[in-house]
Amino acid sequence: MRNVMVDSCVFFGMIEYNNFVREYGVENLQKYIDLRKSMLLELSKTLKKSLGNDFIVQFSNLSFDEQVEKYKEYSTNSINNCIKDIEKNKRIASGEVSPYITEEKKKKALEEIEITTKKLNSITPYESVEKLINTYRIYRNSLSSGLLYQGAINGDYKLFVNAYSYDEILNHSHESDNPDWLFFPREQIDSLSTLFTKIYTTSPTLIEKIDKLAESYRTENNLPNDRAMDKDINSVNEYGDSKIAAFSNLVGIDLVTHNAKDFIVDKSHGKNNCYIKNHLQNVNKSFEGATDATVYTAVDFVSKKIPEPTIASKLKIGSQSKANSSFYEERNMEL
Amino acid sequence: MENIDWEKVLDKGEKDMLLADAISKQIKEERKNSPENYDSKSVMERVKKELDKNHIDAINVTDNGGKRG
Repeated sequence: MRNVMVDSCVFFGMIEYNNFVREYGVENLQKYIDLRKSMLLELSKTLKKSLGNDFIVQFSNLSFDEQVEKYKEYSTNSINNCIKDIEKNKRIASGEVSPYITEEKKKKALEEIEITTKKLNSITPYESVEKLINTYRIYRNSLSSGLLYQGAINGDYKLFVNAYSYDEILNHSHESDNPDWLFFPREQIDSLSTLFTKIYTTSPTLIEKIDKLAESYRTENNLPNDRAMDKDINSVNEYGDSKIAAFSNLVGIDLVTHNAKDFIVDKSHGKNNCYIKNHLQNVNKSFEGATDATVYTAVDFVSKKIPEPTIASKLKIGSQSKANSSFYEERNMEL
Repeated sequence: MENIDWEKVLDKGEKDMLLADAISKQIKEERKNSPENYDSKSVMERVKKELDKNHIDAINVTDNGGKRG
């Protein structure tokens, strides 16, 4: 059984599957997952057609999910290049570049305009597929949450949530004073929590250690391909992301999230990089007590062969309880 | 299994799925804004609109191409 720490977004994604099981029984979960897979497959077929064969062939070395993330950059650059090319050839053909242009060169420029215009018309602008891409992402993320949930039911995964993520989850488990607040009913959250072990700490020295590691995650190393996490304070007034990642690392359990942007990818450098994840791993190497547990997207975690962490946590379980809790178990960790 | 109305079940599931996605987006927004300049009302309004919009899109897509049980 593999330990997995789940971020709040993955937890929320699992609620749908848990609600299904509560109503229709675990014996029908496989059928439900299969239907979700079929829907995702249909979506991916529609999306592939929209992205165009030229693009799919050009980036055939990338997985479909990577192609989806690449499309915005490809579409924007290709369209801009085509427009520039057409304008350049229009200037050549009109004699603006050189009044002594030969008929042969003029003909060639006009041919180039025709070819490039055809190419331009074949490229689907990103804006036209943006909604479809977003829908595909939502279905894909949901399915990965579902597969993790099913894995836990089948005994392949042992699910954990740490206190920093759980605070965010609880924050969306009730109606707030704000009428626009979105939330899942508390009883649905509590029902799913029975599959989880909650990790928390009341130890001041461990809290200090988590804070220190989280701070290092937010501090630049100034190394190539290495970017620090953002200094974002979340709704419960914490540096949420960095503390979630730090606590998960110190207990030696890989964290899975749908939120690659804040934990893995520095989007200011494109979408296919691991600059933030690199930073976390570089910090861990020199931080006393850190493990090699790291962060994965839920999609990667359920679809790729992910190695388990090799460095054991130095933390101890201070106390452990099952009573009076919606969780399978709660562990109060200590240094 | 014969008694399950899968279309209805998937519709209900899609609502949960989109709510989960919208809450995750809200949390992201919360993470991005310090409490001092966090305008919760406008963020909530935007996300809620997106939730409604995405739901319609998702249902359309599945009705056109999705396989129902």
